[in-house]
Amino acid sequence: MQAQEEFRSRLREDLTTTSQPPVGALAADALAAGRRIRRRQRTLRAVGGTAAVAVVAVGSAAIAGSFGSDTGSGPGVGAVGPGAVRTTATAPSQSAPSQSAPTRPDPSRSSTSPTAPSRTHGSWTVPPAAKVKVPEWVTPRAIVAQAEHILPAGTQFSALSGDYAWAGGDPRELWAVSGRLTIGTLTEGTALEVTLHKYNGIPSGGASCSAPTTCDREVLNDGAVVEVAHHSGLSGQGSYVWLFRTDGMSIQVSAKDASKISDDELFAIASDGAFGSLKMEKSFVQQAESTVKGDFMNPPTP
Amino acid sequence: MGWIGRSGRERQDAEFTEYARARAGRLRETAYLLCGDWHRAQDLTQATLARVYVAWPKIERAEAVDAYARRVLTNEFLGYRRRRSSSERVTDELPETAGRAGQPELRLTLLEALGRLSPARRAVVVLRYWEDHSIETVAEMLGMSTSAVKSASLRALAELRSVLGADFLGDLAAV
Repeated sequence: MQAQEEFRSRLREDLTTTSQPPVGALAADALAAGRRIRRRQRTLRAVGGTAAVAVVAVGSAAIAGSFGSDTGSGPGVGAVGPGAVRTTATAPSQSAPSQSAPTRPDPSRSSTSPTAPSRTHGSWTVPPAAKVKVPEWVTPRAIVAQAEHILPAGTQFSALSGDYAWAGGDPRELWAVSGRLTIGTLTEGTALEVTLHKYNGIPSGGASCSAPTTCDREVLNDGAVVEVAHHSGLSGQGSYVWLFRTDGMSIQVSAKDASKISDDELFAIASDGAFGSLKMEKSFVQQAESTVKGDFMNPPTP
Repeated sequence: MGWIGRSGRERQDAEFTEYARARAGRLRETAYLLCGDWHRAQDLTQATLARVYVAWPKIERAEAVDAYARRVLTNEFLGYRRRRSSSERVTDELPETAGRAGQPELRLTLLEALGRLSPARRAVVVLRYWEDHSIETVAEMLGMSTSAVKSASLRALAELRSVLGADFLGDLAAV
């Protein structure tokens, strides 16, 4: 114990020789930051109607039509099997984008009042989770990078950010990882939110949202459950598609402005094979960590 | 977490602020020992306290808050290091110590020697000998086995002694 006390004493002595800046408003700044995190978590719970979720925000007036390519995954993952076919009704190939201005297949979304999703989603299928050769925990930056990859070439991205939320406790699988980005310009674009969270189950019963949010929940052909909602918010009418995969992953993709992106497009992101687990290809995650710039906070490591 | 009224929130905020003011200095010192940079230590401490604030309603005992804060701080540090690791250059070179034995003004400080350890070993040393946590607690905080913590501790002390001299804290056991 004497040696340990000497160790501490020497360290303390060394500390006094460093130019230690004043603590300043550390407590107040931490309080403000903590409040922001809590507000975000409350918002997510309100939107999702359950515990914390992870979010990627994507949205744009500049999206040239629907953006789902049929590959169903990106560079962050390995090859997707032959079942990875997205059958969204309005998803042209990325190599053959719409030549006209963005068109919105669902006119109900231009309404100023909340509207229930106007269709069922029997045509939606969920590709298998991407196979990962060298796995690494997904990070907010990796989520953003993958979202950028899914969106059509030429899409503008800005306001990149991401963090994580406590979603029930440790281990790491129970953290919800968030990434956000704005697509299009800040004034003309919109935010889309995608959620990666290990739900470990399939929700039973119907969707629980209530006015001003309207939503429905549907079991897809493969047993996955999808919840689609439109809701009124401070900045207009938003929407989200929340996919609960049969393997226990939940992916929520929310749009701040539902008039800028269709439910099919939201589902195209949510069902991407790369978002089928909390692991991505290590090289992709590392590249995202070094290249994606913004306001990010990574989850604790396991 | 149930809904709490405005007065409840204000009380929580006041309690948290009191806690943060009391602990910020010490937490920041630990953060500095981990990262070796006061500005980064400030950021780590703020991020840690923000997380503590979020978890505040779920943690009732003060000791549990301290333990949670140190765990978050360590994870924030290791996560930050991992994110930075691709852009940092690692050196295995150790400073010469033989010629410095009789020259106190040139002697490497313990702080500098600590900064030469790998992040994981530094975390073990700081948590074990600065924070005075048990091997088991350090293992739990870092997500390592107790044997891995002992091993890291042994190697870290050996590294420190190779830099600071073989007689450095000779009776400081690694367990």
